[in-house]
Amino acid sequence: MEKILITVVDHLQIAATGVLIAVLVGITMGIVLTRYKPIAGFVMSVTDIIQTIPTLALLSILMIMFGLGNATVIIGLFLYSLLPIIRNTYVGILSVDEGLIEAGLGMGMTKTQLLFKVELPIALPIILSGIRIAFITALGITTIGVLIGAGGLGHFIWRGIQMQNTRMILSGAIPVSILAVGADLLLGFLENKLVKRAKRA
Amino acid sequence: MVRFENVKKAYNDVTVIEDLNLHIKEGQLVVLIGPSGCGKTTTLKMINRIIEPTSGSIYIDGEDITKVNPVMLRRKIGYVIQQIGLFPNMTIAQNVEIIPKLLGWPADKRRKRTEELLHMVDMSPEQYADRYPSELSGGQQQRIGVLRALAAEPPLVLMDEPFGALDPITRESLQDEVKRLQKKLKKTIVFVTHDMDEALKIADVIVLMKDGKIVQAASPEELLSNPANDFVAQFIGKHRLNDGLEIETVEDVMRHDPVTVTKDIGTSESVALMKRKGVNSLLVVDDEGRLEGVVTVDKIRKQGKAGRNISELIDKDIRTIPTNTNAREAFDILIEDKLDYLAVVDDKNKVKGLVTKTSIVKALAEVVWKDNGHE
Amino acid sequence: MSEFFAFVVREQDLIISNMLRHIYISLLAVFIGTLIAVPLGIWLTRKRKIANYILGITGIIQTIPSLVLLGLALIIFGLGVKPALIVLSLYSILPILRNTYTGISEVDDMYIEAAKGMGMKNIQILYMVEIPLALPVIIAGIRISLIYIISWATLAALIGAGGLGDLIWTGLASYDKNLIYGGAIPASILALVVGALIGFIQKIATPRGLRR
Ligand SMILES: Nc1ncnc2c1ncn2[C@@H]1O[C@H](COP(=O)(O)OP(=O)(O)OP(=O)(O)O)[C@@H](O)[C@H]1O
Ligand SMILES: [Mg+2]
Repeated sequence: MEKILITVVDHLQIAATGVLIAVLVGITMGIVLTRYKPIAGFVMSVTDIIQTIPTLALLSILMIMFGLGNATVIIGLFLYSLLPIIRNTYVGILSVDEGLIEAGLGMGMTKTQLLFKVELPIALPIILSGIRIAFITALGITTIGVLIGAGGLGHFIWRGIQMQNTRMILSGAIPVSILAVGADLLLGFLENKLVKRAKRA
Repeated sequence: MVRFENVKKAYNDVTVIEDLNLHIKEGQLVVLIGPSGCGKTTTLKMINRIIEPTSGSIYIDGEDITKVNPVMLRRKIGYVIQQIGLFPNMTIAQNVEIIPKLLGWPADKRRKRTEELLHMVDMSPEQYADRYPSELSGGQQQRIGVLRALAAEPPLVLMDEPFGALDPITRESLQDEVKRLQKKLKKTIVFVTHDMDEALKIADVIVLMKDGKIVQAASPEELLSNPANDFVAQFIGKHRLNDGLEIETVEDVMRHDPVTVTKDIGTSESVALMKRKGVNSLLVVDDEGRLEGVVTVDKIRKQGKAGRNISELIDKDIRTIPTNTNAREAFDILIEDKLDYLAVVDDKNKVKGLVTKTSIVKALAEVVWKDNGHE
Repeated sequence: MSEFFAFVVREQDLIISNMLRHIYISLLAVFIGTLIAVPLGIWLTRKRKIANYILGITGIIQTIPSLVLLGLALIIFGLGVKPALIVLSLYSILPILRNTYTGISEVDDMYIEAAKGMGMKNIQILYMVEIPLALPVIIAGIRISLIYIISWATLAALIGAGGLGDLIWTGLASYDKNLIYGGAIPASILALVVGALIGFIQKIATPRGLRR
């Protein structure tokens, strides 16, 4: 039991680290792309291609490049998470009503103030929805990490599959499913709250 | 043709149509009019059983419509919905031919019918038959919406605010067309609007409704000269104040609200605006409202680049007349030079209005129909 | 790199046969999934209340990691191609179901009313109006599904489905770079090509009047 709990924390840590880096890089890139729209299509296509590559294929190629272990999985998670985060940031900011931007500029806001006071707050629910998708996907990919020597709950499932041991499989499958469903509900709840707040304003 | 007998419609406890009795005679164009929510659409949709009455009966040619299979019933009734609703995945020809196809007409007969209909509204089949609805202006789409309803030659046509979203000029020409088609093809038409101008212009009978009840059903003349009560009088109010109206200058016969833009508007924006207003050209003015020229949809399509503004596409060669021009003179210019419109400008070249043939006719009609019974 | 090329030449039969198997499994799974998902999705648009439940449940299933579902399949059905196909088919239902449902639901009411008013029967409204208008969205669902399933099929090798995943994880187990590349690169190319191909089909299947 204790071992499972430790592994849960491990699992969460790996997934969260990968997504967190992607959030920092992805939101920045998404914002930059709204200022350089001509290259936005290109960048999205590249991230789209990365997403299309089968998980196991990408992870195992990364393993050859970066070796066994958690770090390699985190790199993979980062790559997979970029697309939803960049795209939702980009779409979210562009969806901000022109009128609001003009109003902001009319009030004498600088571009930076406009970004932090108007564009990002309004785009936040959409960005959060991208993060949610990325994080749920990341929890799933982390289970595969065991195949390239990383930790996490995939360990039990993989061992269980090898030994055809139901108990072993379930001791990984149940906690990771609870994590995924729970995280989805929690982040979805946050998202709804933000949307509602935005509507009231 | 259509008879409502004690028709009532309620949603849960809310009655929206109360004991409606109405007889629509064959060959008549009957306009249902009244304030928003008074039950016009509900009344119309009960005729083709999109909505079923709570009680009472509706008869078409003496037959209780609840006894007819709704699918068969509807194939004999043309229906134009307010939002046009042309199927975007079908060409204009395919849209027009849907009902004939459902009825099993052979392909060549369908095609001939489509061509005939397109000619009727001055849209050449070669040019338009194989286009998609998204490739037509708003006014053209509404024409097709009407044609689609007429395609299988239904004796009865229902139209729910078919010209609601159009600019006044296109709207008037479509009204003319519907009236012409109705007379020529001897259709019975039930037409919903909330625009009294429209009703007075095309109706044989105007049915004025309020809160689910008919307040007065009468010919336009009768309605104008003998309003049943204060509500009717109020509703037609401005049309009764024509006493002493005289036509002298173009100011008396022009539209006062032409669609204008400034030249920094983007090409795609202006196409969208034209689409929305159902016009093919826009008057371009500067910040002070002074006329600079005109931009047409054709020119934008041919030479416009997305993301650019219209400044290079403005046609400066546009016929203008000053506000104090004699109305008769303006009319002569329109006819002789075969123009669609004249821009009316003041001494600073500011746009004041637009003279079209319909705007003149309308002004004349108001003088002719002036009503002495009021004030 | 040249070492890898030599490997590819030497083991081309192995790579090709695994690739064909991979394609076969993925296509079959998505085909079965489509046959179930499209009619089900259409039916659900007529049963809004049930739809909310079912889409809620499929939404939850979709968040569960793939390895977990494969593990459960092993518990329930045992090792082999069949259990793998069952899980893959079931999983492929989810995106197609959702897109079919959304696509049909999002057809503007005015088109339905216009169609009804013209005297179309329900079935005619379905195949003349609703399906054509929803088709691009439905195909997009099939595309997403197929890309997922190609990815999942590499994992399904773990429970005995065979395919390119076999090469990858045998490679991982013995740390044989060539085997890993030999599985991973064709699998990636496969996913990209299939994605592009269906994207192309989607363009063609979109009536001109709906293209933007
Ligand atoms: N499905 C419905 N359920 C409940 N009430 C309805 C429903 N449809 C219409 N109503 C009500 O019935 C009344 C009449 O509606 P109807 O659409 O006939 O009005 P209308 O005269 O066409 O108005 P408008 O000019 O705004 O189109 C309105 O008060 C409306 O709110
Ligand atoms: Mg209405």
